[in-house]
Amino acid sequence: MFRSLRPVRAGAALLAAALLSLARADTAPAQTAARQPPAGAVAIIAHPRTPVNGLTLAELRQVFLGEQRYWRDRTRIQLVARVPEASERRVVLHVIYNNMTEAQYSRFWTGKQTRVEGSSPWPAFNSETAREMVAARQGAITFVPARQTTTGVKVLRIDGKLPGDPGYPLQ
Amino acid sequence: MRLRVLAFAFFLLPCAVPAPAQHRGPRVGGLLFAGLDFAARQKGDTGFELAQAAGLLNVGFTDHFDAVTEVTATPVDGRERIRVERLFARYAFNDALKLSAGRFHTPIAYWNTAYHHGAWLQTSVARPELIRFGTPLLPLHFAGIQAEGLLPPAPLGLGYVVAAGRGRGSDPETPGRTGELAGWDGRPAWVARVYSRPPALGRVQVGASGYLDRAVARTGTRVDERILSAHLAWEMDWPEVLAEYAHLQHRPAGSGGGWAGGEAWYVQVGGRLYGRSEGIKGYGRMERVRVSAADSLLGPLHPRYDGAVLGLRVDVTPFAMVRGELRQEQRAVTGRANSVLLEASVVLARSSDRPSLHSH
Repeated sequence: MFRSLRPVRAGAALLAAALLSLARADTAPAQTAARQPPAGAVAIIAHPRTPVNGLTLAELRQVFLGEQRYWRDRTRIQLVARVPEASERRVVLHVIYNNMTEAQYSRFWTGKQTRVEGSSPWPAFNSETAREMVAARQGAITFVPARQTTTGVKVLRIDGKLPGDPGYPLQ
Repeated sequence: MRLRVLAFAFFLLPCAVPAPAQHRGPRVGGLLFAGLDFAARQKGDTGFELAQAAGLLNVGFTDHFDAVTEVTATPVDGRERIRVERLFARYAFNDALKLSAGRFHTPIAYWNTAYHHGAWLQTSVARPELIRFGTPLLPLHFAGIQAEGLLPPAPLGLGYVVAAGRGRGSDPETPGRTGELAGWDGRPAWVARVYSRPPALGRVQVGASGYLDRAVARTGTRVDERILSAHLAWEMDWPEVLAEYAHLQHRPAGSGGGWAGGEAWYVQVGGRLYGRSEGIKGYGRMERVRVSAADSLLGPLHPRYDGAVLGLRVDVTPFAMVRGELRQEQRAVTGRANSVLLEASVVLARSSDRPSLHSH
């Protein structure tokens, strides 16, 4: 008698598995939605072979201020920055560059070049170009809107957090 | 001789140390500073003159090895005097250690290594007396070997510079440029600086330097020299505060006698307006030099000085500006003098390492 129930059991197991998978599929977008970065959030992206997965905010400032010029594998850091008018650039000037204006930013890099402490970042005319530059150049790093696709690059954690996480500093 | 051997070894370093560099051909970057001055002096010339022009060329042969030169053209007696101010090659092992060999600006004063000959970068028209080109107070140029780098932890932004080579005697052919005290004893001069530039504060730096040398005075007497200096640079525009202090000491070499010397300082405070008036910046500076007559190196040069400067700088664009200042100065030799200085100045920048990857 119980033997005759075997196909029913198998069917029930299959049904349960299907329901479970449906339930998971249902909850997955909800998790993604919870991690969806806010519109103004900025992601720090780097070449995939960059030897770090995250930086503290202090280390990030050292990188973008041109103080740290090499990754720990001795690859030279190449900064890429959106040209003015980009909203993510305003966030970076505010948080990383201590409220620098565009004029101050320009003078800052002229000073760095005079002191031979670095040259100004490569300019990118849109965030997709910035991503392409970073994907193509080992050691490169830049900032893009957190909602932008990040194919071919690595999104770095800042203070252990990714864009959308509570307390993420670049938003 | 030992220095020559070390310099030769330095140039071999790039061959000996493998680096994961991605060789893409030399990167060339350049800067050109130029300007036009008008000066009205109570004691001295009045009229227009070309400001010192400075050109900087930086060639990166690899990601770790580069060479730098800074050349100036200075109007002197109706002619342009061309000088190589900085010329060095540098190998960067990493951020903690970069080795250079050549001719530098001595890291004994903040201003000297922050602005170099790029007068456009500095807020005021002229340098403070402590580090004015031609001053006998500090050896502003240095030839030799230099190590520099960053130190952990990152939040403190610590850094160091150590150099050995020729200090006072690095520029003997041009009186005044390194103190008008030409001559080299053969013993290396040493200079070291430590500083903190916390990244969280932006453009803020505090630091201290020490300098040891054996100089040769005008009389031919060999003089032991030691200089301690400290600086605070708060270049956030509002406010801008630059302050430096130097304690200078000298004694006849080998005498074992007491040190005699003096001190020099300046404090400069400025502020830039906000919004549409962001290009306007006002500034003022007080400075003082006092040296004992018993100082065996500087005493006979009577470098006593008091100065006050009040000025206004207007940045017309990020690369062009005009500025004017009123100066009141009193020197031991020439007495009190007032002057008005006006300057229009530009900076042109060029770099060859921009990629051609642009999409719209």
